[in-house]
Amino acid sequence: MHMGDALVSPAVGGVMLAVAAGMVVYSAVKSKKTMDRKKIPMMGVMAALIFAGQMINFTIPVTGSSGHIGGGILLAAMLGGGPGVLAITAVLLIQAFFFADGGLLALGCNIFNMGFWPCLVIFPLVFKPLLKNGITNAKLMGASILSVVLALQLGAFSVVLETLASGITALPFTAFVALMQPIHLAIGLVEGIVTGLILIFVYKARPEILEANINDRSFGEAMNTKKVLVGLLIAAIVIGGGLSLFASSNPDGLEWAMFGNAEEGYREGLTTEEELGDGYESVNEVQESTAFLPDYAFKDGDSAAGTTTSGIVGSAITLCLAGAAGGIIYGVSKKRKNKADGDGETSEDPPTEE
Amino acid sequence: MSKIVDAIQTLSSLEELASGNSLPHRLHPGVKIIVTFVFLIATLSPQRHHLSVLIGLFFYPAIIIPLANIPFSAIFKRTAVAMPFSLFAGISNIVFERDIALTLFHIPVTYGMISFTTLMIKTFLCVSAVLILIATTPSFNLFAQLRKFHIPQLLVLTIMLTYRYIFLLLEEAANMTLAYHLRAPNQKGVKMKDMGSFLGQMILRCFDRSERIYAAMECRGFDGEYHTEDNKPLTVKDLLWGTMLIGVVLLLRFFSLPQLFNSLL
Repeated sequence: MHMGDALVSPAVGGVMLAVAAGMVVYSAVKSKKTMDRKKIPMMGVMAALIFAGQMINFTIPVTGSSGHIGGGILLAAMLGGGPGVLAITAVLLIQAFFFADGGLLALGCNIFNMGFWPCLVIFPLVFKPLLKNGITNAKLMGASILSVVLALQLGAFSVVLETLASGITALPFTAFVALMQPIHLAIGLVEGIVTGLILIFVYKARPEILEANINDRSFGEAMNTKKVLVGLLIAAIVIGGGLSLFASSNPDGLEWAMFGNAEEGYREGLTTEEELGDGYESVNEVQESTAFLPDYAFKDGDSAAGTTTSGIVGSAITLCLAGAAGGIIYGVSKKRKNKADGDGETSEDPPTEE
Repeated sequence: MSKIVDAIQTLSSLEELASGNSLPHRLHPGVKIIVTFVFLIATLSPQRHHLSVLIGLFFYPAIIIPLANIPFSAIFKRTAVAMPFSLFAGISNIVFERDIALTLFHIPVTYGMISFTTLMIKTFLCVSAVLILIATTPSFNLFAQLRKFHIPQLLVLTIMLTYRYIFLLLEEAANMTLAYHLRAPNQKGVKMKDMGSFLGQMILRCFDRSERIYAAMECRGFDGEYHTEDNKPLTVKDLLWGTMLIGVVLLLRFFSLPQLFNSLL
């Protein structure tokens, strides 16, 4: 479910980063005030454990396929909602930085999809209430499955909305939803069962860990239904407003920002094509008319074939030049290295550039 | 199992790359983070049919990666990780956007094919930009810089601890899976019904471990804050390089090089 950078537009990525930043700051401030300092190393170690745990594949009976754990609900159950968000943020950031799993601009989306829903919404509103009046194995399993399924459904739906708002895919909304939700229902069921098994095991050995988080009022009080709903409403308005601001008038937020006015920006010949003049009623219209090779009339096929070919020649030259520049730098540094190696075996310092 | 070994190798090879000493390595971490973000925004801002402008942006990785002595194979490996979802979105574009945009040497090219290519190029460029940042910046300088950007202390602390313990826990996970597979030969993964005790066991150990870590931290005077060595101060040279890099990225973004060459022809 990790969204890569290529799947978000700067507008969507930026808005979601802001939303995620707000969430993280809220969780950090709240956690720092209420939680025991002892939990700090635990957050790091648990996050690392989830990271390592995701690498262990388990076999799913009957189907023969394999899966791995997700971790949102598990982290929230072990640490509590707020610290859970921080721990999952740490995991996502390290995955984005070091493993190209997710991305920096898409980090906000990923924190929202995989951290916000399980830790700040489902955990306090579904998981905790279900286990409030005493924990049994059956209840623990039921709560885990329901929570993981719900969190994954909401997360997957958020992925759909974020991808569509970014204008990355031509997949219609209904088809996209029809693809994503059932897949994540299946994943959620399996993940929920495994989460339940893990929690039952931990509860048997160390009941105090789970009990402490389920009875912890510090986040519970802050996250009552009303406040969550108000928060969600505000988030929806901010996100909706922020996105439509970019999407309706101009699909390209950066050009919009640079030139202040969308129409002017386009009319100055940034993206070309006369049919833009008619207006910007729909994003689609703009998307169709903004072109792959700007300033070349190629929409009508044959007549434009000549200019298009030359455009591709231009692209080829650019790529060759970029490649050659890189090749030369590699060559020079290799030569230097060889020279340094030959000069004296005693020097261990790498050759300096200046 | 091989996944765990891969992860350990990736982390240690990145650490090794980051300890190099080249022009990109010496640049201030804060400057590098900002340049990376500008590059990401420049790469992601063109729309899905706006291919030509992306070609010019290839100059950034093509120049910085050899300057920093990063092997190109590293990027291709990482791009492969980022691919599945991009591929899914891209292929659905080919299916849904069948209108012909142009004909190239008598071969019709659809909008879907163009947006597919755009998405793949964007994926490649973004992955290489992040790789450049990570492979030229030691991780703890990077995390210390996050603190400078006013990211909450508690989160930065969690990130640092997570990063530290990932190595340890990956090794532990590898040992446990190896032990499991020695007792269950010819089995693809861990059985689902065993996962509870498998990961549960790890969690219990982690709790005990974190208690020991906490005790050790307290012994060394931990007071809720985590004091790290600050990054080197920002110099005029860093600022100049940063401004230049951002300028070049923006120029490449707003003045399409392919178009320029085309008009020269």
